[in-house]
Amino acid sequence: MEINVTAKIGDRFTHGLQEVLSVIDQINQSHDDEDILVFSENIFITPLFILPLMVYISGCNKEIRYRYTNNYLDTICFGTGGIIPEKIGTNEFNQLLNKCSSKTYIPIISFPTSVNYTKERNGVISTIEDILSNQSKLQPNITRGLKYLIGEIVDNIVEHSESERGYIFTQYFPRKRYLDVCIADRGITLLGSYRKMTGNTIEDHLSAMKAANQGISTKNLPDAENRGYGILTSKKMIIGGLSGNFIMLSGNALYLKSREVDQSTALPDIVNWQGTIVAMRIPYVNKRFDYIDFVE
Amino acid sequence: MREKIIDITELFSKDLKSRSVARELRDMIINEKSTRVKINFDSVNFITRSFMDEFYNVIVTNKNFDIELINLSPEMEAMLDAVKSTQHKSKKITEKKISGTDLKFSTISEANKYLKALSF
Repeated sequence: MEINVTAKIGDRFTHGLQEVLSVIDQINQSHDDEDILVFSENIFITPLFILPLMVYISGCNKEIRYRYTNNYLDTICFGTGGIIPEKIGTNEFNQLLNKCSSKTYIPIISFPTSVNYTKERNGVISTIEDILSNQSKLQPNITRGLKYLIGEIVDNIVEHSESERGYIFTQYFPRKRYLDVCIADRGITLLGSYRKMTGNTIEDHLSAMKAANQGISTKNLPDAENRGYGILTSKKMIIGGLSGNFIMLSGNALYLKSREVDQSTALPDIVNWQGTIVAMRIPYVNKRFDYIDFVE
Repeated sequence: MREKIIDITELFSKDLKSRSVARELRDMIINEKSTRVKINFDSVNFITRSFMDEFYNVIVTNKNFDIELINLSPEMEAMLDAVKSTQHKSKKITEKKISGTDLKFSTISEANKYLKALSF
């Protein structure tokens, strides 16, 4: 079946999620073994649309193909699954990203998660952070917060997801003065990670989502609760320090956090992300923000 | 007494963001076979809490090591203090939070209706 994707995502952060849920709904209504997503020429999409769509499709039990003439989708390397830095080499990767310094996006980057690639991965992430900082002319206090947020989420993928690759896609909105950053993996999900914990009692995606967002780590030391602060601290920074928003998806669970909302929800079973996705809207206007104030 | 000074940025990066970096450093210290190791943070630009937690647990509190940390910035000292203070602190998770008011949607249109009503 051909599914027309006409998303014109507006200012509201959750709009991208609504659009991707609508696409998933249509895929599930089709009884064909193979569907084609036909993107209209004048779509406007955000990271919270693109990465959840990529992760959903990669775990989908039917063949999904794309058709588009929209240059932006090519520019962000959507069809190829993102830029693989090790394939093109450090110099070419840095040159490619430097070209984005005057743009409002960084293409989808697929980074390695193996501990054997720690140095390479950290180099890639640092390059992304530098370009983001240059694009939106971030003040040093915001750049440090951004480094913290990206660093903690990427390290969670490395430590827990068992995904071979991680993905990052960013967009900045100069007139609105915020950044959208989405980071995803195609790993064992939060639930899969909790299931590996000795004495685990968590048996569904919603419970796993709630546990992760309460800072319950799968890898604490014996008799200690030293881990699990990364997500808690990150949320405090984004919401309390920067007045932004935080969304997490894993399996069929969705978590939403804003100044007004702190909600875990279970989506219908047809929505199943085989991996974990974190999306952040980060306003970059608070001159008094200092990330260290939020570390506990 | 064999003493060794390790400049952490020469080995890794000015940004220390991974638990695996701390574990790699531990393995290097084991291989050094020095009795005393000074770890120099002078050129470090940035650290995450995860790096510091792993660093604290596998290096600072390692009873086989005699470690001195030098040139920690006030920001790094604050991160180290935060990590130390939460090693055995039980997280206060309230009953209200555990039970929460879970929302479960049976259709995507229900979920989208909920999302549409949010302010963000």
